[in-house]
Amino acid sequence: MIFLNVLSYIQSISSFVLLLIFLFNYSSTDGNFKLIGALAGISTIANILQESVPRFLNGAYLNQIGEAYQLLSVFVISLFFLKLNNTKFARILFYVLNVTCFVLWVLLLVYLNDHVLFSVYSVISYIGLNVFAILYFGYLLKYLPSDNLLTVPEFWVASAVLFNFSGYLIITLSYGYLVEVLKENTILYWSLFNVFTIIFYALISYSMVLHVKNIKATSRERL
Amino acid sequence: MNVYNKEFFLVFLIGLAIVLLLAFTIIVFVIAYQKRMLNERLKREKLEVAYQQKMLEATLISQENERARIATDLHDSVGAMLSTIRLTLHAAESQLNENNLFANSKQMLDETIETIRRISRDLLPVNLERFGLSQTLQEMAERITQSGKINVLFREEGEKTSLKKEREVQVFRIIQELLNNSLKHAEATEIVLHLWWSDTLVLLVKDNGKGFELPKEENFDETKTGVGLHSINLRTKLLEGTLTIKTEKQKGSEFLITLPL
Repeated sequence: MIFLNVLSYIQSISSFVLLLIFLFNYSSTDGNFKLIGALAGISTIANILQESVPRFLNGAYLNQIGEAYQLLSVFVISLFFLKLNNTKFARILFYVLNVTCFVLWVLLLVYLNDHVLFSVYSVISYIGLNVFAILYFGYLLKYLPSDNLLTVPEFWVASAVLFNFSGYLIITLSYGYLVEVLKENTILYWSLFNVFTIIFYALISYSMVLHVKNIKATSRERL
Repeated sequence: MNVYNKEFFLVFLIGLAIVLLLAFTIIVFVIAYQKRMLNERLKREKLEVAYQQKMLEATLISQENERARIATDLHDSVGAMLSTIRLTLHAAESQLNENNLFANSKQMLDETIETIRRISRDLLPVNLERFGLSQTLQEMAERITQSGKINVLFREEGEKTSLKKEREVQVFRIIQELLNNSLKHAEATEIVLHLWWSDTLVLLVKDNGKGFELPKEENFDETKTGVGLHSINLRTKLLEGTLTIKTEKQKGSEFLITLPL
């Protein structure tokens, strides 16, 4: 349990670090990376609420905060990729994914703690985001930027999304079995969620630093 | 953990590993594919540049050959025929009384012969092969200065290096074109022609003329800039050199060309 708590705190700190990087370099980020900053902000607020709200509710855990965060993060990340690669397919995927997630989120508010519904909601959102990341990789292969891909911040965001949500997907697909069969032994599995989130925010923070560096270098060149 | 749980744990781990490996493979594939494609694009661009360079070289060589042929024809055929006519006129002059008419005709003929010689010399710089670039440029500068229209100051510094014949001709043509531009369009009264010899050959041609508007395009499209500047740029590129132009209206122009030796 302590291990899970430690991981949970590191996860909260990682999104907070991303938020700080964004806020300190707010003027050096473009519209797309302001979305990433917004994602860090939403994540930090969700973490604070998840830590503080149960204290006022005599320890009762609220899934709704995580579910709302998930809905907003799907919207922000899919919008980020849509702005990078605004094709007809990406637009359709964006609307279908967000409308479906919103409907499922409303249903989750009605049928509280429905594991199957939560799994469907999560699986759809993770597959959707993975498709967006793969679409962006396809876009990179088609238009081949002349820079080294490892210096392209958006590439790191796409890699983080693909890696993180692939991991989430497998954990979520095992969710039903985990809850039904393992009961108390599920802590190890849930800690994997936190590990993936920490890696995700570390990669996104790196991409934000790269982005700020690139923007500053471009401004210096213009001077 | 019972047997079923252990089996599930194993399947879960394998599934997770496969999916993460797949994600990692996609990322690595994108990086490797981009690198490969960029390398191929670079190779293709290099080939295209080499092809264009060869085409350019062939064009300039055929232009040189054509110039040489015209120069030889002018010198050997037209020039010789004019000289013969001059001799015939000289003989006829002594037998007739209309000396004035003959004197005028002879003067016109002398001027024509001189013009043919000049055109022939410009088309085929024989002195370049005989005496080298420096001597030819020195003579050209003196000849232009002697014409009285413009003063050409020729200076040279550094230890001279012998150039290949083809490269020497190209350098000569660049300077010839630059001097021609100053003479024809710049309305200059003075031209400075400076050569620095070191690991590179640096040419500076500077005039005090009216200057011109520098085109925005780097390749100096001949439809916009005229054949002269386009040809200077092409020849500089062929010699793998760099061309820097500074010009200001009513303050003259400066052409700085750096060529590897």
